[in-house]
Amino acid sequence: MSARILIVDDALLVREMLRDILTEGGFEVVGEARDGIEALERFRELEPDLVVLDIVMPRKSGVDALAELIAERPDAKVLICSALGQEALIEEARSAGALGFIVKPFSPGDVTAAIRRALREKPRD
Amino acid sequence: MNLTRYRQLFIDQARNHLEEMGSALIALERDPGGQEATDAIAVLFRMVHSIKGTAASLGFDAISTFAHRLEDWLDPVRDGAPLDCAKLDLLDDAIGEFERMLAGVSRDGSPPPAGDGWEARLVRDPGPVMSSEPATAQEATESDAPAISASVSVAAEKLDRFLASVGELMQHQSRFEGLHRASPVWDGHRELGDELERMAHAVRELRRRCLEIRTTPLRGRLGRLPRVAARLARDLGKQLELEISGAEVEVDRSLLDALEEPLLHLLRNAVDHGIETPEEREAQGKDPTGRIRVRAARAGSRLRLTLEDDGRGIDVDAIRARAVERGLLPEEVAEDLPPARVFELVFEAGLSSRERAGSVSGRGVGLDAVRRAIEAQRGTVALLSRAGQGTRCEIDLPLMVALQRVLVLEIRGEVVALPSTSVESVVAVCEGTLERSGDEAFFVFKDEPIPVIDLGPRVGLSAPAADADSALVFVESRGLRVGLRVDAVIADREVFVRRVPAVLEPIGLLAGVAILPSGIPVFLLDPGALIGEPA
Repeated sequence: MSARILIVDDALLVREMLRDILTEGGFEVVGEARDGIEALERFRELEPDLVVLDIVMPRKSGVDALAELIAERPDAKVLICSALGQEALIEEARSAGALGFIVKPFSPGDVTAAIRRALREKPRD
Repeated sequence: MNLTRYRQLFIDQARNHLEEMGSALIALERDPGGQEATDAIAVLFRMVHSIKGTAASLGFDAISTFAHRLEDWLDPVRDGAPLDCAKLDLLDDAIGEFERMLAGVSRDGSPPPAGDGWEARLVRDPGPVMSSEPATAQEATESDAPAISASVSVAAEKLDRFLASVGELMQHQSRFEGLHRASPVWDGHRELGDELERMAHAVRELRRRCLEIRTTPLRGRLGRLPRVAARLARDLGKQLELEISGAEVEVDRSLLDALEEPLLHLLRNAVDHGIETPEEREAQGKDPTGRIRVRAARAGSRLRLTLEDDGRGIDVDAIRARAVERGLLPEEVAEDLPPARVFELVFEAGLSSRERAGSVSGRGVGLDAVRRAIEAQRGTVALLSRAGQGTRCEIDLPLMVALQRVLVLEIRGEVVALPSTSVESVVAVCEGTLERSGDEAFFVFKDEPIPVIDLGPRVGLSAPAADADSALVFVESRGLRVGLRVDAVIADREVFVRRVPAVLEPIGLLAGVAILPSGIPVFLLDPGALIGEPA
């Protein structure tokens, strides 16, 4: 069974690109969310195997959503998706429990490789 | 990856973001200190950031880097630094720069580099050096209404394909109805007839709703005008009040893009050449603050746009002199030309009553470009002016370029169409009713000779037989009225009109391709081009 993935980004374009890349890479995109609050809601509802999460979003940032998500579900697998120039935030996300990073502009190969790596990671204790 | 689709999606979203930034700038210009301003600044940040992220996703480094620098430059503003006029101007220019880069993406598939000078302009005011990170804490607490789910963005191209499919469905449906009426096979099957009628109704409803999707309020584009006007007035030391009404009028989306440049041009003209300085105005007993009114209104299936100023007006004699000087008219003709015709001359290439010293309204295009842009949308533009009192520019356009009423005509066995909106009347004639003067033919109507153009030879068909009965279709364009001679008028129909295919554009006589209800495409002729001198 292919891994079930939730895409979170406030830009439709990025969601569309990720959806295409993931679907072609053999993953199942089970849902999309546009901000941190929606991300938490969709996560609870869909229980995806992995979340691809943007950092800067309206309402609730990716870093905050990530922290809440890990507090709620320590075994959640989250991959951060970010633009260059957000190095400090990436650091913050890493310490909040993100398993990996995709940096825009992303290539299909990098994205699927990062996801496979993250899915192989052992759950946190 | 479907790059074309992503690119289009990116362009559409970025344009929406730029429009929001434009509205935010107006809010800031109006009320720099209030709550509205705080919200506007938040919007500016979010939009710039979003453009940066999406541009980066597609590898449009020129745009993402530019957005990143702008974000950096804006940072102190978020921390409370004042947004003065110079900063607003820079942001306004930045929107223009984004637009330029987007146009490059649309044209070449990738953005051109940011223009020279931006490097220097985006150097931050001296102050504490800050990290280039956006302060997420603030962004995270912004409680913008999550009403996004109420709307979806669709690429214009998709919408056009959808509209075309609906057009095809209509054609099939209409042909089906024709078959139904003509064929006795259906007799005694009343239910089928009823069902067919319901289907026809549903298809018409579908078309109506489809056209609704194609339209959008003028607001988005008119929104830029106050900002441009306010800035220009400030630069020129003029006092100005701009009033806009009718921004809620729904317009075909393709019209919006085509209208933007002409409107901006006319507005710059009004501020630059029309409105006087406060001193000049006071000296003439006028209110030192000039007024410009932009009004949009619907009249049936047409859009009427008026741009009116209470400035110095147009000096009729100066235009006469310019026209003579440039060899457009012999002096004796110019002297007697009535003012209304003189104003038409303003739209000729290279004619303007004033030297373009400031060149703010110049930007390489003149009123001739405005007229071309309007006429390309099958519209007309006219000027009225009174020296010392002001100028009014009236633009009249068909609202739906996708759906139009046309008059279907027959010439030598060929079928063509003319936009019904430009047709004044139709009369049946035979050769004897026409007056001849050398090669030219006239139809005398109320003692006024109206020139007659034989449409056949004009579009590359043979001339009519001398004794043939024919019809004269009277059309008016640019204040000229002519009778177009055709063999017969077949019908007046509301049809879908598609744009002229690129390969046929050089012909120059076409306004589009009209799809008749029978599904047959026929050429929709452009009355303006038919009347004008052959190129």
